[in-house]
Amino acid sequence: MIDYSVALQGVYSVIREPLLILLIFAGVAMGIMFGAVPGLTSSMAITMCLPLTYGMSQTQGMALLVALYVGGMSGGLIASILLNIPGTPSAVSTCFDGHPMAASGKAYRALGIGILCSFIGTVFGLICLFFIAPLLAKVAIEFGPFEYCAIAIFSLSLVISLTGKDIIKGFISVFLGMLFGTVGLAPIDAAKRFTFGQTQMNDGLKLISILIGLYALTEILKVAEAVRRPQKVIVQEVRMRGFGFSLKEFRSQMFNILSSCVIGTGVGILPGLGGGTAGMLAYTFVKNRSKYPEKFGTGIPDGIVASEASNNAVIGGAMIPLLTLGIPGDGATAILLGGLMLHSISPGPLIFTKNGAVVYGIYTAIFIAAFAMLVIEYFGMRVFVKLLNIPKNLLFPIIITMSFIGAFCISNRIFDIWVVFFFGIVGYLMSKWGFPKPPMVLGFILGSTFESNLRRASQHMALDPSVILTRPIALVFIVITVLILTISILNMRKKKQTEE
Amino acid sequence: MKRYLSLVLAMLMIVFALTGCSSNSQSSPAPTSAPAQQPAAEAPAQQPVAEPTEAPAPELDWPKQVINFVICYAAGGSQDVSFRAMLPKLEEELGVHCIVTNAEGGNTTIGIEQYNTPEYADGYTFILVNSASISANQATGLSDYDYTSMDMVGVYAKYPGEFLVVRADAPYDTIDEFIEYSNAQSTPLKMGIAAGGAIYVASEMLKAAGANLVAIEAGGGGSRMTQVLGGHIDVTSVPYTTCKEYLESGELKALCTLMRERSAAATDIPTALECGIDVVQNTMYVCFAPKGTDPAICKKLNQAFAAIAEDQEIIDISMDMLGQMPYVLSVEDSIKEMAEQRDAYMALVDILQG
Repeated sequence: MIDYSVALQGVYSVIREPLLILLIFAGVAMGIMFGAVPGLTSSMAITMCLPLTYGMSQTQGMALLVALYVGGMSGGLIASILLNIPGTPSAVSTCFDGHPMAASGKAYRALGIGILCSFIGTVFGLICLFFIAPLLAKVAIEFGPFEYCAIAIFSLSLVISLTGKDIIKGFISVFLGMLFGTVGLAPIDAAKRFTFGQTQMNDGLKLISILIGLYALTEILKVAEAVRRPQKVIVQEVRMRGFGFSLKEFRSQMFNILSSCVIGTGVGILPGLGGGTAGMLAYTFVKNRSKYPEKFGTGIPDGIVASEASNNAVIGGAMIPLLTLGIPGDGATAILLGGLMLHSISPGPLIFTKNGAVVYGIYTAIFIAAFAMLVIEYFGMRVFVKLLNIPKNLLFPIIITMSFIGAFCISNRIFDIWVVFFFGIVGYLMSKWGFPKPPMVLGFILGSTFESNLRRASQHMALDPSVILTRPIALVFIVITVLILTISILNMRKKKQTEE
Repeated sequence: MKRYLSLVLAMLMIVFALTGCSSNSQSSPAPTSAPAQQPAAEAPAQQPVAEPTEAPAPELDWPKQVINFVICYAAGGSQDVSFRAMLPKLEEELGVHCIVTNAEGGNTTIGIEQYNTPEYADGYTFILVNSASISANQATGLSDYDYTSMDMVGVYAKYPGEFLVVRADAPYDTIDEFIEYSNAQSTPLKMGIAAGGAIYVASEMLKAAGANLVAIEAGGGGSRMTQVLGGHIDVTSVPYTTCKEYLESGELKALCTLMRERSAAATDIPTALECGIDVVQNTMYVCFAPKGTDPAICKKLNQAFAAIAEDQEIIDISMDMLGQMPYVLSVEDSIKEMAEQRDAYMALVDILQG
């Protein structure tokens, strides 16, 4: 149970140092910057700053690292909303409604909603972390190969139905994404696939370069296409008070916020799924149960709420396996794990008894970081929106350069920049031919999870085929998947018939 | 308007400058005040490569620039974390900045194949792996080369362990009881392995010792341990650092270690050998240089490892992060150790590739 005296000690260890709070604010600001620039991610920011924590105390070091994590997770929304280019993989789904809203002159409102929901999501995840971390860790342990395999199928089929109009195109897109995910050495037997004899291909394609290609480069090509036409200047509505949310509207979004937070935290505790998956799942969930699903994608608050609340709730979720099991969920938490160990904090079941004060110090730091993010982004909005006033012929070359630097930095090789070019062309053709891009991104993210767990599960099945009957969680996910797919195919047919 | 533009540009430039000094899988452990030397790994051509055939110069003028240590595992793993912790001392000893690059995947084959090339044999790129991966990859057919494909710098630390762990509620406490129990079952027990790796070999060694086992792919150390906890698999082998919290909390128990000697931090856990089971996996952390690197440089780096091993700080780090006392072998002894390990693994090649 929670030992409140240790918890207080941890809280106190953070708030007694004004310098530490300043450090958290600086960390969040830097994280936001990394999150906002396409190609630079929070894991890069954390890797860069990890060595700086060598000379710091446990609490200082960890506070700086989680501040970067929180800032980086949230910063992605800025580029998504203003430029239609996701700043991070987590912010892909923020583009869906965030950008249309900004394009209709309500950039402040879109940013305001995104920022507020980011804050709520982070705090929700933190509350789960604080009160039920050991319980959720037990849930995470229950997930074996069957469950991961089932949840990957479930997520992928949801995303196919997400892009709605043409389920065939959605399916092709997911399939291509998964196919691109197989490039390189196979997860289990290390067979070389699609490497064409190039050693550089052994390492596979990287999510970041695909994301930059599909979104940033495609967006730039589209702008270039329209370069001779007069640029449309979007007149932004004057800035309103608060976050662009009336209290009444906020109340009507209450359910969306809560369910997105739960989805985000749930995805967070399962290592390897990540913020991008959380955002898209929450978006699909909110859309499917909405009374007006046809309005999604046109710039309604619901879409931004779902995406931003869930991807930030991932933070709290991902900290659970990290702290209580010592298992990182993604690139950023892997480096946080290194940070913990560097500061002689051993994650595991005994972390609360051994390093309780530091753990609560980390919680406090996350809370302050969430608050810092709210403040910095709220007051930064005015500056962010000015991005829209910069002529695109000046802005986009800068963005593309930054993106290429980001791609290069993945593993310091030019190869990844060629990958960006390739996916720029793929993305451009996909937009021209009406193929949705998010399924491809998710297919790529979940493809390897699906494959390795499918192969593991089949090894288990080879021993004893009835073992699958003992995995109720996996079965439930598969049944839901079949139901969702059947319903969406039926709906599509009905729609076609009524149209005819 | 102009003011904001310049502000945005200034912010971008800051990001530029910052990314210039480090990147995703790299980090300079020193304060980022000397970013200009970054492209060390990328532009080795500028550095005159010392001919190995040259008469040995009286004073080796090395190192002069940033050294890149390529760790063939993901950031946050035990070799990565322990090496990064030792790095400040090593930098002090060598007098230059060092950076760490993580080139993970394919059980070290990806990192080795990418960096063991003539262009990196400049004396400023080194490859860190554990000895078992190299030998196991060859024995299982994952790779077609052994340790001799690279130049030896030396064994610089002991691996934290190869502990066979099972759930605390399992009906066996020792490796003997485990083997006995497994033979009484109709279906074999599941041993979680990382494909192609040393643990796969360990599972084959245990089978050869009489256990009724089947190897099931279960991913990296953390993932394997969670799967033991969740009952998805029955047994696996993990480093001491991965399982120690669970041993302490009583959720897992360790049957034995496969190392040749008991671990300094867990003297109560016997070795398999002591229990009369002839299974040894004496894994070491080894530093290699790309083939063609000046042997004098390798030797000097080996001596630097040996020199810092005396330091109390390194002893503390080693005990804390690896559960072992510092352990450094000379170039010759390292080669001998690697040869022994390769032979032990290759003895199983028929079973492994059969």
